[in-house]
Amino acid sequence: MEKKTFLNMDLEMYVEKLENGLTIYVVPMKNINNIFVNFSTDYGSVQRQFVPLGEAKMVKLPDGIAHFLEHKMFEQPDGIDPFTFYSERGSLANANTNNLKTSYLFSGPNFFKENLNYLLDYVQKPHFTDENVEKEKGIITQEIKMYKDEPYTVLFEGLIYNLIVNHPLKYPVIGTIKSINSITKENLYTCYKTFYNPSNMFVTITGNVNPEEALNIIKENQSKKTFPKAKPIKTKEYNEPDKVAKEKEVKKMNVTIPKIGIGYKFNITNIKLSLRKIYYYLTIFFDIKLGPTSTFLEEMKNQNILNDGLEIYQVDIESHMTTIIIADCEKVDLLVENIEKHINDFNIDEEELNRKKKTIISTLLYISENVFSINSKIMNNLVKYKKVYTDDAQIIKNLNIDEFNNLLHHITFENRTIYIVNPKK
Amino acid sequence: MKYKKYDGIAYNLHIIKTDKFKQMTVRIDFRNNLNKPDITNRSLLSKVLLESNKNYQSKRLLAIEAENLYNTNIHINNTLSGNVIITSFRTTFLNEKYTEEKMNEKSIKFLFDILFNPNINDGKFETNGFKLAKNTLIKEIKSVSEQPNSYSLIMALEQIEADKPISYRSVGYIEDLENIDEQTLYEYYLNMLKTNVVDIYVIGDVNFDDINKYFKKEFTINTLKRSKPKHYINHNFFKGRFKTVKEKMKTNQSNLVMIYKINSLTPFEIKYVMPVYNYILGGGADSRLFKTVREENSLCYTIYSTFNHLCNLLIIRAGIDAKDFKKVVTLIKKAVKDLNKGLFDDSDLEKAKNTFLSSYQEILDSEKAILNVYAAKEYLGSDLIEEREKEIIKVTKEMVLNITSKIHPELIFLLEGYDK
Repeated sequence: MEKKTFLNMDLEMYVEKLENGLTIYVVPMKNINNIFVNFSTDYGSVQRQFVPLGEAKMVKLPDGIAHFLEHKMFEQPDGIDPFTFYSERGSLANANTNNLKTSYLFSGPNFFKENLNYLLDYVQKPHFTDENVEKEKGIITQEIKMYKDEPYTVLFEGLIYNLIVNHPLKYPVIGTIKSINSITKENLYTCYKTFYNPSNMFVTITGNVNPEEALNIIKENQSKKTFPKAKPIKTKEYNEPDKVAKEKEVKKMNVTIPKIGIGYKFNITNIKLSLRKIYYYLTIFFDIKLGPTSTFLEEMKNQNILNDGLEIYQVDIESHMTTIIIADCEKVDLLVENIEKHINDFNIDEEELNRKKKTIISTLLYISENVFSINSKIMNNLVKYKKVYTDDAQIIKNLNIDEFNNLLHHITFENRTIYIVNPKK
Repeated sequence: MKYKKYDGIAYNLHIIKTDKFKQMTVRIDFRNNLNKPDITNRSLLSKVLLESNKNYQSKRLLAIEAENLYNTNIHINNTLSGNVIITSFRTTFLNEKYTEEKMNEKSIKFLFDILFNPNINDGKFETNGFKLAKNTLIKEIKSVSEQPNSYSLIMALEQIEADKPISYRSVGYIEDLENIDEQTLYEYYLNMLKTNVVDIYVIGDVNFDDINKYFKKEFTINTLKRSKPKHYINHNFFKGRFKTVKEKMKTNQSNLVMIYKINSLTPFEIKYVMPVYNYILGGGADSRLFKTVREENSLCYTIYSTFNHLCNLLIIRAGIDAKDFKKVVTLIKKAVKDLNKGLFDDSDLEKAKNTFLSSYQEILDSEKAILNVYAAKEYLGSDLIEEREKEIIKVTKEMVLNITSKIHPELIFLLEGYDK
């Protein structure tokens, strides 16, 4: 197995790609009892339109199908529930779907070989029937209703929808009640055969494991199975314009304090920096300008415009980067005006940059002891960057004012959308 | 891993020495019997103390210093623990082996600054910081109804025993907040330091004597140790049948809460038997409730049960459609009845025990989780990990059946959603 060292984290990662295309990533962790395993496919809600394996034409399947498929993977032809299997071994099982990937996981300190084999087996054995598909619709309908009652989820999804014009990240992962009710077992098999080929999948293992042992278990398991020949998956490409889809929307919900989301979108195609560096610089930029150490936040609280800090996220949609800012606030116009006053001031203090670098490197050390955080880091790198970076500490140390200023010259906050969730009364 | 307790005059110092982790945690708990006004006072106090202090005159300056200390984390939490309120001042920081010399001491001093050097003018909290903290708390109190799933539980508990510890809202109350000003809060703070039971926990790669000496020198508190408060809430009155209450709220989904009161569990039953019962009933995706209500009948997405051992309550919660209320309640009652009739087998017991055994091993992966184990031992008489591993395997089907007569139906509450 190829060995890579996570700089400054006292961790090593072992990597191997099998003949069938499945790639395995193992990070043994000292002083940890638990083992956390994810078996993931590079398939989430963004693959809205694609050419199915063995076909020629692009298809569009109902929204929410990747998530629906994830639910149905827990149906097995022998009727044994994976949750029961793992529970018998004192292990926890679950799965999740986001825009970019679907993961099936287990965690537990014991029965590693059995647990790992079973994970590979049940995910590689789809069992979709008309009955079990119909049954799931009621469950996912309740899930959708649950999210519809969560103000911050409504805000975030509404904001993203209005920020993006064409890119499929626009649409919620879970779909709508209407879209999921139109899903058939044939749809699920189409998605499964296209995206669940081992060449499109990866296994990430962190915790109390021996990498060679883990690899051998997987190799032996996979050697007993045959898979269709893999081909590159063709998905629709999207041209995303710089402008936003809708500039403002107001929704009423059962809230007592209004919630506001502000989204900015800017083109990054001409920026000669890696996507990873863009993320780091932008995260630091917004932290400096609007975060807990900023004069902005102090002013906003003293003027009674904000009581708490802001939640700030960066999300890339390939050609563009978006920044999403969320706050509880009654004085929307004043908040927006002040945010823009601060973020349009591109002066960066070098001492402040160095302090932020120190905190990010410290965070790497904190997460290096957490079996779940390291696993997530690997998975997120894979779906975002298609590789796992182990030199973050070095990259962060090398972040500098010149590069920072160069990036900021390419950024504009002209393209903006605002989403407000107001009280019903 | 080694543990030592120093039984001091003003406080207990618990030191857990381990070199497993890169980080260290120091937690200082102030415990007292719970009276309702305490909640809002402490909620506000925790915010005021994090707004500023004598050495860092604003929240921004506090945040900058935390970053200078290699991203040290500071939290002040208030927990309602049965009949007791606990205010915890906690810091987690990287061991100076990974940062620079003297960082351990600087990080702990930073916490002490927040605790002991509040921003005081003329015998009261500085006004601006007080006002900012109060505005934040008002917003939090008002926001309680925005999350219908957690709000439904609050409303259900208030139906059982309004104005008693079981139903107190941990965030506080607007009407109590109106009676608190800069001076009364400062007096409350001084009283808390003077009269509460204080336990300090330190976990990390430390030397016992060094830490003990350090706290003796730096943690100067004018407190007389008092008798330990009693956490557990016991019930004296049981209806023996469900009372059903419905309230309406403009939401897409309805939230169901079913509550059972529990009485006279022995310590072993509290620690091991009832948790096994709860696991089988509604402890996860392999539980009776999940299988029947969600998987077989597609009537919900979330459904689970919780055993609140401090309040002696078994609580079942589900997100459903209002039209399915009767059907879901019938299914839940049947699941409980079947369990109480003994319709479960050794494999169910083994699953529960194996899951708990795994969770005990996983506790040792986190310094905060380890610290919580020692705090639970100190406050509640809970067992340490080794004892837990020996005891849980002793649970039998007969023991589980024996406790079913101690579980009494109390309340069915529906926060009924409507959106048209």
